[in-house]
Amino acid sequence: MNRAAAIAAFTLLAAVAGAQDRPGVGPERPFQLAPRVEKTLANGLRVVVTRQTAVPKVTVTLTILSGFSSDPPDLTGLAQMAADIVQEGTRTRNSRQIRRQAFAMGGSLTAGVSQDFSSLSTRGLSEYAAQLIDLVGDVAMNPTLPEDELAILRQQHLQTVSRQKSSPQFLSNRQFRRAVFGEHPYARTSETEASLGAIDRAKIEAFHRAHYRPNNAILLVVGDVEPNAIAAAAEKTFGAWTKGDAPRPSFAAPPSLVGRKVYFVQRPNSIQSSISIGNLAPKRSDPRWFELTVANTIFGGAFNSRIVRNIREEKGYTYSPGSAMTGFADAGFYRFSADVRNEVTGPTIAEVFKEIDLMRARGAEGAELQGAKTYLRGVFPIQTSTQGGLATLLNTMYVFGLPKDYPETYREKIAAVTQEQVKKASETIFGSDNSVIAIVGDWSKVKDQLSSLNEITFVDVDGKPTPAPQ
Amino acid sequence: MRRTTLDNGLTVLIQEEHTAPLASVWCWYRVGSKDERPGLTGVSHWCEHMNFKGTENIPRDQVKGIIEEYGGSWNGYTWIDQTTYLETATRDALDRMLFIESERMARCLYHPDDVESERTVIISELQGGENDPDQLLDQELTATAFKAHTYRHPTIGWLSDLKTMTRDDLYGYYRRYYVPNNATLVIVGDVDTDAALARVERHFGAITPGTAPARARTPEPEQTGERRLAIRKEGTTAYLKVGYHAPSATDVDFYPLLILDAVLTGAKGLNLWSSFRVPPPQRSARLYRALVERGLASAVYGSLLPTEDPFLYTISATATERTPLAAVEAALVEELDRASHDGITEAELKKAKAQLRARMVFDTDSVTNIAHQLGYFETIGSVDLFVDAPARIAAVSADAVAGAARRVFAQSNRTIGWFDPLPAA
Repeated sequence: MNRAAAIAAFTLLAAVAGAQDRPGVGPERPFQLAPRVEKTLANGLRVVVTRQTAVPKVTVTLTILSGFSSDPPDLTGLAQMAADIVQEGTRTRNSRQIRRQAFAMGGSLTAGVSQDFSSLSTRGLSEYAAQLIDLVGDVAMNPTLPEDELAILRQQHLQTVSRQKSSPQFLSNRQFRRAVFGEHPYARTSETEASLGAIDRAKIEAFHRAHYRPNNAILLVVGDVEPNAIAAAAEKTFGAWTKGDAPRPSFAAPPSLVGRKVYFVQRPNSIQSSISIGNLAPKRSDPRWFELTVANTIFGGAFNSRIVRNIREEKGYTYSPGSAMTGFADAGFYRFSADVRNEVTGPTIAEVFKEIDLMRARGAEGAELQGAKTYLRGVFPIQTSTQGGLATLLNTMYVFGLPKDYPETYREKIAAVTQEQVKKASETIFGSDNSVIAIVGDWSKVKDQLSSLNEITFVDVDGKPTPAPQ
Repeated sequence: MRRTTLDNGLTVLIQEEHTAPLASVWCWYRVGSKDERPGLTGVSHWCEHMNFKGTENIPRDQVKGIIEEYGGSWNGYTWIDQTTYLETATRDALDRMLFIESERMARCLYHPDDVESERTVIISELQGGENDPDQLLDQELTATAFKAHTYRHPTIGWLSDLKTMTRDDLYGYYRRYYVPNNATLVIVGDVDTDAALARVERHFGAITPGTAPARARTPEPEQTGERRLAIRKEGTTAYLKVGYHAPSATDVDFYPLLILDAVLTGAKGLNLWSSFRVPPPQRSARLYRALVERGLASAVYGSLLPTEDPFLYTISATATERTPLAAVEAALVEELDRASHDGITEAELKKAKAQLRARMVFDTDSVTNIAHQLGYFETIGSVDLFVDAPARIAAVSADAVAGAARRVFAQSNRTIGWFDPLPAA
């Protein structure tokens, strides 16, 4: 999409009173997923299968319950490199054969790594479900970790590190996360030249041996498939995989945040400022997640939220404001982000804190609460109508240990959120006096607007403290 | 899929898909940045923004909320040939989605205050793009490759025009192009075709047609020599882009070139709306092997999209650290020369076709994506181009690919762009 210009960078919400002449919408329809078949193999591998027959294809995901947070502090990127390199050769297939077989089944094979997990995912025509499971199993269990492919991967990752340093959005988020999480592994958002230099085949092999174990994994299969046949295929592929005790990450306590901590990354001649504002939030499995989601939806998690209405629709400061809550296994964070014109950098920060203070003081007002709840209830069936969307939801459920009836009860739990809960949730997630502000921009163009902020810490593109730019 | 034309000229495409209780509505206008004249670059996209800013029957602060208040998703985009708006929601909201689109077609307000607030939002959007070296290079390469055709200016417009355009410029443009005889309405989902068509008639039937907009365009003359540009600006990464004037969607060379792109950089399919979601399979693609496996580039990507007039086939590469752009360029050009001399093998042809077929299944995995494809192709030519695409791909021979490679990859037909980063001061 980078060629075409879209109205909204992301698709969001609203909450408004009714107008005249507007056709009504019928009552909400019941939402029911096909029953999930869940089985645990003798070696501890959990297998979850859901039928979804919209298209004749299947998505197979093997999730290893170890991700970025299992990287040793000086080896950031180890989990990612492991997930990438296992696809590049097994004892019986070389890199090209792996791709060719995936293509021949109408599909693809990709790796995705997050803070708490690593996923190997393949999709293809459903008639090949058993073979796709076999392919994923082979790369997970029998990788050869070839040195020549590792050299290419390292080069690609080094390039990514270099490119990230010219991305203001990346730098803003990275500085923000470092400030919020401190020594906690969730502070780490990317590899560095040093960590990539230190990750060698032996370290990847050790990581793989420790973490790629059946009792540290979940196999999720969504598609036009027969669940019992899939369970049998999983047993055949994974039955002989030996279990092991994967080490759990150690989570240092995040720093306690007192006052507004301001960071500035100098980017000479930047024509915009990339701003992040936020703080710590509860972990994904926190039972308050529903009210926190509703509060964030009203605040900045949707198009007709207060933040977007204020700084985009009314003031025209920026194209891309918004806020999001992200929950991981051990903690979470809330972050407002926007790229704004240099000349409105200071005013944007002031408006965000004005909206934060209003949310904290008064919570939802008027029809906002009802609007946000109806929106969240309505988009849920759209998000889960595609195989990819459903697979993502199931992965979230099983990784974070959400209740088994999470999809079926999501909408009623959103509906039950009260005005008081939203106010309390706002006080919980939107820090005002205690928060992190990370700005990436050209200091000479914006410094006059930032004079009201407390002491500012200047850092370079590598995150190291520097003196204030001239 | 049923195609109907209302008396006022509105084209309606309806396809029933009963896999989930959802419906997607897209309203397409045959107007994009290629229809803009000097002084008004960016007007199509700005109109798109204004068309979310209030109508006679939907107050200005509610156009974006009216679909979301019961949990629908919406968006819109503008590109060189088209402007489009979409809603996807429960099928029970079909009436409301059609109501919104009928309001947007005939009754937008263009309040002067909203024109001013959107001016700065769009300038911020433009600056976000220029802040990204890859997008900046893409914009400058396109502007260099075209000297006559209006594909040369960016969809977002030039900053000077965005600063000076008036409310009347915008409103006049809106009234000229937003008429039923210049639009296509697409509905895909859990609907009954006859009932849906009756609702379309109720919401749109009374909108009066306009004069068919004039379409005066200068065709791009044949390029007579290689063009080059080099951007030197703060950055950390060097980028190379090579653009060739490419066949339009209706040209016999289009599908052969699409297959050639799959061989060179991996199959992408044909969906502008969803193509960014999943990277193409490219480990065995020729340029991946020539550039990435050899350590010259960390990434390479090809882009060919169906367009109404001949646009560009662009290949982009990200140089690895310390590799001079000239070395990346030489290796890339050598591969393209090889393709134009020797064509592709039967095995490559077969594999590229299989990859494209698979991508096209994934390109149409939701009611939203199917509706996008129907409307996109109808707007740039005809929906038949989409319906016939699988057969046209199947019919491509290795000779046809070789012929397309010879015609497209001529040295005189290309523009080469470098982004050469300056270390931060």
